Amino acid sequence: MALNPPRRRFPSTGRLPCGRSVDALWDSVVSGAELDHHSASCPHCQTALDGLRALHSATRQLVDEEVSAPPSLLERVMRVVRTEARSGETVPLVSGPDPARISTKAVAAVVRFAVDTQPGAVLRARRCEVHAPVDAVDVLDVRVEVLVPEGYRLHEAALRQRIEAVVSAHVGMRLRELTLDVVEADTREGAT
Amino acid sequence: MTTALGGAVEVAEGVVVESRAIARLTATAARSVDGVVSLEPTLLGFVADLGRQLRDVITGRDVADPVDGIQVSAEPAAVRLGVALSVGGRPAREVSVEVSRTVRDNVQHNLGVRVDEVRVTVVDVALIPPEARVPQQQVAAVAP
Repeated sequence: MALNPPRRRFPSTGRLPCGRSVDALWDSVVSGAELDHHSASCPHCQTALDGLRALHSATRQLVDEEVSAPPSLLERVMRVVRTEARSGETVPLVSGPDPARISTKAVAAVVRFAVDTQPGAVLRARRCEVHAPVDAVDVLDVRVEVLVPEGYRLHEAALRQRIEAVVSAHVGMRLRELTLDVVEADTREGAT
Repeated sequence: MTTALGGAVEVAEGVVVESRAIARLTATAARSVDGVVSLEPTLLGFVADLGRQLRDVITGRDVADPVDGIQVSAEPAAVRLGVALSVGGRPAREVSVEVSRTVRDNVQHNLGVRVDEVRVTVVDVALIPPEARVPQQQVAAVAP
């Protein structure tokens, strides 16, 4: 069965039923030029012109409007970026009906902080790995690389004690295994 | 009994609590806990919140404060809540336990919504050297 083609309100050529181009009417609205005799009396042109004038007015208002981001937006975006960066891998912090987890990056930052702020020492923490053992709860396994100056005599027991104390104070968990990879820094001139 | 209605929960016949109200009360309760530095927005929550604020502007509704770091999952009989936060000044573990308890109590008692689970995620820890912490005995000793 043959069907009539669907009727379009406007031909796809952008022309009104009276044959006038919508683009030409839009140009006249934008330029403010006087309408010719046909457009001034044609109902199709008048209807289109009303719509085009409203559109032109609205776009002018939008262009003139000063848009400024709320002052807190940048801060929120930066917090989102930081949260996304830190919330990748987590380890259990509390188990039970209301579980809690903590970012391994946050725990690693605590461990590095403990090393870097060891009183009376010039130590630098580098890579730090944090794992939750599968066969134990409420404890963490930590491995941290510690950079010491050349010839420096590291008091490893004191450093271990400090790391455990700082992790306990900030995180509230015990360390089951704490592995220190001590690396001596080459402090000779020109060494990197 | 509570029932879920597309992001809202019916706590009694004809009484519906929107998930936004649950999120705002959750945020307020979490912030009230000592040791919570801030609630941390996730990317998904941030985008959803921007969309919500845009909807508020379009519909002429008062733009509500952002509810960062709170996730509300309305389920047939209750809600599950997620809280992402930064802590400081107290062990993260202690703070997390207290946040869960405070949020659960507030939502259940103030809104009548049953809470099945409160999941806390600590994304950051404010770092304070142990030497900088003033023991409570010293605080008491110097207090007038």
